[in-house]
This record gives sequence, structure tokens and C-alpha cells, in this order.
Amino acid sequence: MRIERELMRGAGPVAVLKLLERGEMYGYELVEALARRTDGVLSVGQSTLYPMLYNLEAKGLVVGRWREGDNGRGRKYYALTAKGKKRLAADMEQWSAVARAMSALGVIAAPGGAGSRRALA
Amino acid sequence: MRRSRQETVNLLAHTPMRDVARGRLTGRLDWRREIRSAGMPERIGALVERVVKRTRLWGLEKVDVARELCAHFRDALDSGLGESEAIERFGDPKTSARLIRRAKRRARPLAWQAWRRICQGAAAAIVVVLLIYSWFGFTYWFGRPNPSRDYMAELNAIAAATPEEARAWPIYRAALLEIGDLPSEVITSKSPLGAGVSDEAAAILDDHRESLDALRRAGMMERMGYVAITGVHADDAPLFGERDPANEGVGDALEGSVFSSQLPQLGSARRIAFLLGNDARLAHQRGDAELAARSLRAIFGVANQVREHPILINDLVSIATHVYALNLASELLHKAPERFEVGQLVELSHTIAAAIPDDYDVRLDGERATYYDVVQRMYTDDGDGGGRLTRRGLHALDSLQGGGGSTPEIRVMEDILGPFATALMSRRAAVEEYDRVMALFERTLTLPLWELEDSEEFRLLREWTEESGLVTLTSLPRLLIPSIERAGIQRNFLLQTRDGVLVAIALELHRRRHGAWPETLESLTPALLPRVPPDRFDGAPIRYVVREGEPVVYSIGANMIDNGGRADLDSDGRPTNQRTMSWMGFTPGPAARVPDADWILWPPLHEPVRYEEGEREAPGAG
Repeated sequence: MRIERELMRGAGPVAVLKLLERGEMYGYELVEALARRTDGVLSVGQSTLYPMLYNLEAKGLVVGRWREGDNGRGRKYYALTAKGKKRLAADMEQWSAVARAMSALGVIAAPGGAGSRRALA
Repeated sequence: MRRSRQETVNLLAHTPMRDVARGRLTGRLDWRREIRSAGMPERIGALVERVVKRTRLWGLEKVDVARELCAHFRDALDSGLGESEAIERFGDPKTSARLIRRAKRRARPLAWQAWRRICQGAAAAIVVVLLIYSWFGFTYWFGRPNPSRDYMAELNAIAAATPEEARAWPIYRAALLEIGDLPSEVITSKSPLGAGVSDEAAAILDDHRESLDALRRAGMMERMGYVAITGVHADDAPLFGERDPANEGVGDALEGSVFSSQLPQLGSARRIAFLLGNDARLAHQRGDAELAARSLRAIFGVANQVREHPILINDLVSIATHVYALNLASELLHKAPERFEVGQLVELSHTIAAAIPDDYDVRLDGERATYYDVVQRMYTDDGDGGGRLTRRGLHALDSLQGGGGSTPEIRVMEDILGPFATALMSRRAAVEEYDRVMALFERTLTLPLWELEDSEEFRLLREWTEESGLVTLTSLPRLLIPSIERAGIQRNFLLQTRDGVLVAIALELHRRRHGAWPETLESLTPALLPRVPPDRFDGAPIRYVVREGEPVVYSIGANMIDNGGRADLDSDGRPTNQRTMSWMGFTPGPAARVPDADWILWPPLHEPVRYEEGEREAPGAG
């Protein structure tokens, strides 16, 4: 499914921060993880991932380090900073609130599976 | 392995300065080397190179991006993607480069960010200035003034409406041409007061008797009828010479304007006054009081004729000529009063009162016309009182400042900077400021002297003249408003001098009637004097004492103290009465000296010349 650009603009960085929560990752790894774990919904263009990472780096939410990868070649690994963790926590709270609201409206299925959708009053 | 020269140059070009300073040619900035050494397929390498090049980032930033993109494509290929698929999945290189550039610049140091904002602000400001400059420049370069009112014709209205046969000017011209050049003794007022006319001067005057009679007759006519133009009339060229307006700094823009008009008749009027004045002296010397009185009446007539143009300089010349005639009348009356018959004295008194009434005014109509005429020739006209300065107008401004001969270089600078002048000097502002200041001046012209220096108008005008800075550089009124401030003082000076002569005539008539001087000036009213004139310095009646059997009429003068009729004397013991006006300091500057003395209106302060027994009489007399 192709997601509206405006939605991706908000979702993309949060998704990247969430992936990095577990540990540092390199660019291509992030691209693959986003595509795989979201069934392609949050696939970012590969040419737009790196600008996103550089923006997050400029804001101090992630930090990049060059080191030798397991294939023996240099890679730039990105990791969350303390500031990034705080931002992630805040963003997750906001997204949860939005999801609850959308769920209450019946826009998305309530947590708990199918059949728990509520129609608009 | 020894490097080639090209390799060394390339290495140097890609080494940061601090590495070079340390003596190390690292070549760390060679991002292409990073791509080459990544060992990727050619197409991918070319793609990465294209993206990195497009980012236009700093050297080290490009290296970082090149390394990362190479690592990305290596990982893609290692994951089993084909070359084409990897390139396709990467996306648009242009978009990528643009986004990478934007993101990387955000990570640059704060100082760089601040400098970037400053540069952006400066660029925006420059654009705004250029837009404004272009807008004003369009008006400046292509705007055209559209003069719609013929101010010159309005000022010439009285002269132009005078029938040819009623004009004094042609008679003056013919007489002056016949008289030609004469020694200064004869044609100026440089003779000391009280000095007689020498035999040589008398002979010269006698040689031109007919022309002098013509001047006297013309002086009694109502109008001079001189129509002012730019340059001189062809008929007047023999008298004034050819005058080329271009030689007098009048540029094209002001051609035909009031400003460019010539008033050579004013100089002629002064010359006529001095000729008739010296002839009056001669006549009086010879005992011909009738001729002397007629000459005096003619001089007053000339002084009034020059007022046919309501221009300040005309009024000032008129005042100066009246004062000359009054001083001359005073001199002749004091020298030998018995030579004037009662009837002649009464007629002279009436002539003076009619020529110089109490409401004699100094007019600024001509100044206004001159200014508005200049404005309409310098600015566009939006039909609502507004407009912008034009290129032609700036050149006119140059003429006004005496720069009629600007060099081409100056003209180029004017063309470049002209739009700024257009922005700063609007027509409406130029007219409003002018009207405001002129209204103040006009009010000062009618204020009594004792109210002048403490008046609000005086204070505001002093503030205006003391202003400085950019506001004065862009103020057209400051360039064109003449020195008006003393005109009101000169008007008061004229009226007071007149009062002195009228009182002197009344005193003489009283003495003849009663055999003695009156005790007070009130005694002269109303038979010989309508009223006792006011002292122009404090408004009280002018002062009068009889000292050593002679009457003294005086004003308390600028020190505002009644010194009992004591005159101011210079270091040589000469009276300085005639420099009364210099006592009034209007414009900022060294304080004028205020004498601790009175302004003596009568008698005239000079050694009286006593006529000797058997003094030569006029030819043909007796």
C-alpha cells in the first residue's frame, strides 16, 4: 500500500528510532527492516533513508559511527542517543493517543483483533 | 613509488589545509577515490558519483556521503540484488542529492548556520532594495515633468499689460544709452553724505541735461513696463550686452523658468537713482530747489516702478532706492532748508507718504512662483499634488547649485544614484516643507521688531536653519529659499527712515510758521503730521529732544535703551547710524554688535556742508 507522503513524513522517523531502540543498525539494514517488519507499508525510498538519518543525526537523536562490519568492510552504524530515546518515548505516546482516538472513531480496529471495530455513532 | 606531478597536484587539491599545515598530503577530500576504491560496478559507481557531486557539499561531507552510499550498494549487492534492481530501488538521484544536501547542512556548526541566515537576510534585503531601486529608477529615468502653469507670465502680468506708450523703460533705455559710461562719482552713491558735487561731475551732468530730464519725466510714470525673460530683449542688448543663459549655469530643464529670468532693469534702476540723486544735489547746490525736489520725486517713482514684479529682489531694490532717496532728502533739507519753499516741502512730504505707505509690504509671491515653477519642471505630476523627481529634475537641481557644467563622470553618478534621490525627495514633501517655512517667514515680515526675536515663528525658523544631516541634503527648500529673514528688518528700517524724514519736514514747517521748534512732536499733529510715528523697536512714539537749539529725532535702537539721542560712533569717531540693520542677528553666527546708543533719525549724521558766499549757480539761472 502506498502511504501518503505527509503520513510518512511523521511515521518514518519514529519507525527508524523504534528500530534503533534495540541496537545500532546500518543504513541498508534499516531499509530492509522497515520493509520486512511492516509488510512494505513503511518502506522508505532508499534515496530518502539517508537524508532522514542525517536529519536525525543533525537533531542529535541518533549518532553515526564508522566501524568495520562483519563483512570486513566499513559501514556507518547508527544508534539512539539519550535525546533520541526521550523523543521516541514521546512520539510513541503521541502515536498511541492518535491510535486510540482513531480506534474510538472506528477508523482502525480496536486492539484485540477483528470484530472489535466500533461503528461511528 | 614516486608520484607524478599531476598526482601530487591532485593530492594537494584534495588535502585539508590543516593537514597541509602539518606537512601531510592526505588527500582525504578525494571522494572520487572513495568511490573508485569501493570496487563497485561502473553504473553504480557513476550513480553514486552523480549523487555526491550534486550535493555540492563540503569536501569531508562528500567523502562521508560517498562512503555511506558505497557501503549501501555493497550491502544491496551482497544481499543478492542485481545491479539494475539495486539502482532502481535506490530512487531518483536528483531528489536524493537535494535531500542529502539539505540534511547535511543542518548538521553544520551554529556559526555557519548564523552566517547563512545573515547572508540570506542580506540577499533578501539586496533584492528588496533592487526592486525599490528599479521602481524609483523607472520613474527617474523615464518620468517626465509636465509644467502646466506659466508662472513667468503671471509675474510679468503688470508689465505686459502696460501699454507701450505708458512704459517708462524705453525712455530709461534711450537715456542710459545716451549717457553711457560715467565716472563712478556721478553714477553711484559713493560720495560721502554731505559732500557737494564737484565741478567735474557738474560738467558731466550738464552735458547730459536732456537725458536727465527724460529720466525725471519717466520716473513720474506709473509703470516701468519691463517684461522679464530668460536672457535680454534684443532692444536692450546695446545696454546690457548679449546674455546667454547657458553661460549663466541655467540648464535645459530650467530654460524659460522664472528662476532663469533676468532682471537687469534693477541695476539700471539703481543707476538712474544715483544719476538723479547727484543731479538733485547739484540743483540744490545751485539754488534750484524745484529741480532738486522733482529729482527726488522721480527717484521715489523709480523705486515704486521696480515693484511691478512681485519678487523679493525687486522689493529689496525698491527699499534700498527709497532709503537712498530719503537719505538724500534728509541731507538736502539739513544742508540748506531755506532753499525749499513751503509748497515744495509739503509736496515732497506727500510724495514720500504716498510712495511708502504704512502698509508697504515685502512680497513673497515671486519667490513662491519661482519655487513652484522649479518644482513643476523637476517632478512628475500625479494630478494630486504628488510626483517623483526625474532625471531632468536632478540635472536642474545641479544647475540650481551652480553645477551647470557637470562632467560626464558626474552625470553617470547622478544617473546611478538618481533613483535614491527620487525615493527621498517627493514633490509633496518638497512643497509642504516649503509652504510651511514660507508661511513662517511671511508672518515674521509683519511682526513689529520688538516682538520678532521672541516670536514662535523666529524660534521655529532658527530651528529649521540649524537642522543638519540627511534631512537637509534632500531638502529642496533649503536650496531655494533665499535669505528672507532680513527682509522684514529692512522693511522696518525703511519705514522708520521715512518717519524720520517726514518728522523733519514737519519740524521745518513748524519752525517757519512759529519761529521755533515745538516742545513735543504731538504739537505737529494733525496739521503737519497725521500722528507721531512709532519707534519701530518698542512701539512707543519716536523720541524727540532739542539739543543746543537743534532738534534731534531718534529711535531707542537695538539696545532697547533710551540713551537720550546719543549716536553710536566708531573708533574714528564717525557715526555708525547707517549700519543699524547689522544690529539685528537673525541667522546663527557671531553675535552682532549691539551699540549702546540710539538710532538718530534726524539730523543726518555728517558734517554739514555750508555753502560759501557767491557759490556758482546753475547755468541759465537768474
